[in-house]
Amino acid sequence: MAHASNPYVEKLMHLLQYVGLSVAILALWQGLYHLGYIKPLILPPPTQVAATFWDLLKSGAMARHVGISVLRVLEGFGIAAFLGLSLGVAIGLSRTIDRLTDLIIQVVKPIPPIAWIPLAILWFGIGEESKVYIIFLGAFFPIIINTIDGIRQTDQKFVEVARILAVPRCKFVRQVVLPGALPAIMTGIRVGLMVAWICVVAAELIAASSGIGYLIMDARQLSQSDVVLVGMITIGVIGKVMDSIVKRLEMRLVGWKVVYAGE
Amino acid sequence: MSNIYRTLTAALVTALLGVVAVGAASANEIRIATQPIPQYAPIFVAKQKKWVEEELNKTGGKPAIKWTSFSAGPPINESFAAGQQDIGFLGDTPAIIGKGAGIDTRIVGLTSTGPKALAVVVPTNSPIKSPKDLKGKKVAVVKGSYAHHLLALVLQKGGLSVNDIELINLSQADSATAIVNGNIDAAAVWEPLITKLESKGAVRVLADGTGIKKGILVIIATNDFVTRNREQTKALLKAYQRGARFIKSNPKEAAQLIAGDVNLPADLLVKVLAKFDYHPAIHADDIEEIKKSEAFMRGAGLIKAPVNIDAFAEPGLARESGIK
Repeated sequence: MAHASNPYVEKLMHLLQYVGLSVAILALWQGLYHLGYIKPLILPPPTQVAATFWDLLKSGAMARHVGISVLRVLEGFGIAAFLGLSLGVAIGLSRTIDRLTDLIIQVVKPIPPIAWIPLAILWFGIGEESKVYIIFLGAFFPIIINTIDGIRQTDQKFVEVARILAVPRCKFVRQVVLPGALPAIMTGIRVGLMVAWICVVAAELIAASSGIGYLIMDARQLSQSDVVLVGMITIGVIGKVMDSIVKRLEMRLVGWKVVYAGE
Repeated sequence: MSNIYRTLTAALVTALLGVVAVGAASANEIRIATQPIPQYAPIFVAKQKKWVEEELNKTGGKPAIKWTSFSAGPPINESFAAGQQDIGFLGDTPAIIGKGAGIDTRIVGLTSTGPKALAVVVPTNSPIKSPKDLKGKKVAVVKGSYAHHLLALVLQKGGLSVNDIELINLSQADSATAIVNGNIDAAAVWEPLITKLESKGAVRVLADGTGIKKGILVIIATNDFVTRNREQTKALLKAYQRGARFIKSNPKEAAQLIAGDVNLPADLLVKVLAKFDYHPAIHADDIEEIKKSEAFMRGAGLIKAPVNIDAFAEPGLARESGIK
């Protein structure tokens, strides 16, 4: 009865496909270590990384580092989302504001957050503010750019209908522009959150004494490549979890949009 | 008769061994990792004066020398781990960290000692007058550096430990900005930053290494390099020693010669050079001092496994080079 369309078998197959490559890479990595092809100094084996992870978890250090990093990201991202959305809507709706701000946005956007570190230290010192500022910079531009783009893509038909029916501006924005721009805005939020999380390592280069980025930089100074890997993998896993949560939220908010998921 | 015969045989054997040794000592390229700070001044003098090449050429081959400058000890460790360096100049603590992490090196000589060249500094108008006033304060240091050890020793003098302060892991450059801006209360730093900040009137020294830490920095080489190129390793030590002698007898000229290498105006550099005792030979008391660093690092959790300093340091190379 193991028919291909059996839902359980199919689910299992999908799960295998999902984790297969990762497991294979881990196995290869561990295997090469046992065969002596990779020195633990250069790349510690998965078993050692797992043991180090367990030690950090047991001592409570991991929870402390992850907690403070997530807090910083949420702060920086929160400010970026608020400013990015409000500014983005204003620019999207007004040609004048667009002309006033476009040049500065386009010029500041390509500057990587890490290049801001020296100034961030001078302006905000070495406390939390400078770290939050770096994270804010990373998240701000994807959010504002996507918001503007989303509004620009409002269907011309709706704009004309609204004009003919003399819909009040406020209602037009709330019921036509924003819902139409929501998919793009959600993409901006997702990318912004991801970049904010990526920036945590850069932000914690600044005089941190905790945080997952600090854990990596600290371990680098002490030649502990296993701890570096633990930090990297933790950042990856948390990033994936964050993305999944926002994706869920997106599905709920813009569920009407049909997405092409590949064959 | 048999005596002469024996002497001749011995001479012949020695000559043969000598040839073999010279034959083995022929690396075509020697990769040297340095940091642009006065702690390593003699190597820059030797570099400018072409003494490194001169001494190496005496051993036979004419190796090309590849100089790479690093901002700190940890990236030098990384470069060694990646197999890109033969010789390195760094503090005793990062050298121990690298060794503890499994980098296959040994200490072939010292670069300098200088208790006054590392210090805990506070802003000029700071209310902190003695080590015990550091309690609860924000103090910056490069974690795992030799100044980290000094900070622990200074705190100990004030009856405190590292747990009694807020320790901030900060690079030297950022420490300078932070202390000038008042973001931190103190910083454990090393030369040339101390003199630079003092000359601007920005800081005063709360305590330096005098009486508590000699401030040893070391020359390391990969074991593979020393085994295969013992004569060349010794030649490098000789070149270093010539640089050290030159600084002692002509400090002003030396300062002018290497001002560019260490990025410091010659007038300031003369003052800084006077704080160091440059001598590549490793003495018994130096070994004891490095052992203290190792014990501190183990206690502070900076290294996980102990490093056997007696096996790590090889005083024999300097001795064989005639350096006392």
